[in-house]
Amino acid sequence: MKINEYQQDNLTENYLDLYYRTEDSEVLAVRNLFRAKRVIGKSGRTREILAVSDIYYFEIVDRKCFAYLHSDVFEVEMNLQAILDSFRDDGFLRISKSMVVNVFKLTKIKSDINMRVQAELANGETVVINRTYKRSFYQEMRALLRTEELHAATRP
Amino acid sequence: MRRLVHRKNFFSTCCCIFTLVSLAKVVLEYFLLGEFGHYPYNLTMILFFSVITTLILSQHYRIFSLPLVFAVLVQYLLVISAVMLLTWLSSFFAEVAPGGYRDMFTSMSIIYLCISVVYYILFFWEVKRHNRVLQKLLQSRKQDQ
Repeated sequence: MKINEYQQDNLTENYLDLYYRTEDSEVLAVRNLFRAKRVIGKSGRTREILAVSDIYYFEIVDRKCFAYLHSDVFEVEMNLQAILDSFRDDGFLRISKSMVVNVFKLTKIKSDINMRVQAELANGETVVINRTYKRSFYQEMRALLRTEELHAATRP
Repeated sequence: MRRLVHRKNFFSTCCCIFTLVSLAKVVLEYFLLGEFGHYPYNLTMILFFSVITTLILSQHYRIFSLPLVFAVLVQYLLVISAVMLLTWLSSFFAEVAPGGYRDMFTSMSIIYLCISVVYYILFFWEVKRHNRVLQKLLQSRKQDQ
């Protein structure tokens, strides 16, 4: 892909135009790269920019917030309410007092003999959906589906 | 103007009105006609049972953290104990029929069992339904990519 860069002093906002003949994997990758929301994660002394869509869930442990990826864990400087406010539309829903999960990383919802609802993640982990948050979790899932269907219907 | 009765509270309002009208009839009959036979007595007992059962069920949130099967069993034991206690207390005012305690036990247990089964079925149906919602969500996200 050819990249042209222009510096203009009179711009009020930076912008990027993407020209393509066919929407191939390269175009999709570039689009996802610029559209994806990001957070800064800390692991030891290193800091990394994490794509929100790669995060499986956020959890508060000892008043610190951690972002769990497929196999890595990063500390992030956000609280759960801020995460919900910023990333609810990206599929992050609260499932307990200390946990927010990315529904797009779930593979299955299941229940056990004690009627506890559990969610299976794509990396094989299982998280418990607290009974207090179950109803709102279900409601928000349905609302998310309605939004997705609306987007799909209006997509050209 | 704010509507007092709407779709969501129609049934509960209807239940309240029915209870109040029935109780008013019992009280008026007692004071005006001096009658307090089996039918008003049973009606008053049913009211007491309903109040106690609702009171116990309303405390559900206190045992919310317990495993659900355990919570259901604890509530059942509380309800059945309260019913037995009330039946025993009522024996001071009126004679309890032979087998009355057994009848009260089966009456309450059957209702409780039916409600539990319905709750259990609804719970699993809800999980199943939301699994379908999840699959649709994942499908729509795949199409986006």
